[in-house]
Amino acid sequence: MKIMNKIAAVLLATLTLSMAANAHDPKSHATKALKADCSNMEHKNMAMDDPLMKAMMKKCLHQIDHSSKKMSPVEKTVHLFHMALKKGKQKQARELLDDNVTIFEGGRVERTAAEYANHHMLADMKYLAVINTETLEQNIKVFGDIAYVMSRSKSTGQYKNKDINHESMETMILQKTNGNWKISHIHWSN
Amino acid sequence: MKIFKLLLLLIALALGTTATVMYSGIVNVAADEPHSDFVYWLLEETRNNSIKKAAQHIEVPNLEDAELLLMGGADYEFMCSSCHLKPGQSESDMSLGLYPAPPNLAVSNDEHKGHEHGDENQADRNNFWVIKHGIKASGMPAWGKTHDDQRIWAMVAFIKRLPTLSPEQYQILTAVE
Repeated sequence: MKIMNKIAAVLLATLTLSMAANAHDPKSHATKALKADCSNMEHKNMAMDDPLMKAMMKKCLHQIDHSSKKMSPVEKTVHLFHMALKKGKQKQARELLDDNVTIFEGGRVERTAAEYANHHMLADMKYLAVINTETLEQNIKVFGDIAYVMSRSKSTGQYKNKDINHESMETMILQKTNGNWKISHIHWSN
Repeated sequence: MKIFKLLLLLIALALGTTATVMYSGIVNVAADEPHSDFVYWLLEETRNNSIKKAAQHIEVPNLEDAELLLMGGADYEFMCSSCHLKPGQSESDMSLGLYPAPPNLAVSNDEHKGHEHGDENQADRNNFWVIKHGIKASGMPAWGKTHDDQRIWAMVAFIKRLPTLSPEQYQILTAVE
């Protein structure tokens, strides 16, 4: 009798299950990213012929086609440096800097990549991680193995409970060594 | 003659009991009250054996294909993940509210409790059949009514790799641009 009751209960209960009545956090809609975030692509220990690897590459190559692939080597170096700071990738950011880079920032100077990496870089990463930055203009000039890049950008957002909304200037000098462009000088101001 | 009368009496008793249970309203149909262990086992075994039998002759195509992963990933995100979860997620409104609880497909078969999956081929066959035909009175729809076999196999291919994916890899594979 009890078992019969239970079986009937199961059949009736499942009939009433509804897909519509869910009270989830509305914020979950906003966090659903539609564009693949290829900056976080993990592929360590994966073979190139692994279908998973091929699928991710196919998704991400599409993005590269529309971003860094069309960039000149100098522009790409600056872009990758900006992205490394934004994403908190210390190793990648450090590798794009010349060992003896000179950085002017906030009225101070840092004279080596190691000095910057151990001081301001971490603070810059924390700041850039939460601030939206839009490049307003960028001028690139290349003279042989030397190039300079002048950029103007707009920063918006909130950092340490303070509203941010200002324009920033950036001047970079890059030097080509052994076929690779490295940043040898940066001047940031706003 | 006596046996015949006894049989009639038993049938009448069974029908009477069933009618009483059905129409008295004493049965609690709330999804937040679980079955007894016995009833759960009874239903689980019935379901597993039914799926196994129905799916036994399905031929599994090559699922090691990047295109299938991309096609299946997008469909999984929009059709399945709210109930069956994704890497880095341990529960959702649906996974908590549905009864029986939908399995967490973001963890490997070995981490599932309570039922057998068979070998890898059998698991693929079962997944295809379940996605295509659904499961009565469980909240699992029959996606075969609106999706062709290729799309369903793509979901099977994606589900096969799902437990190995990091949240970042999942995001890349399931993003729609």
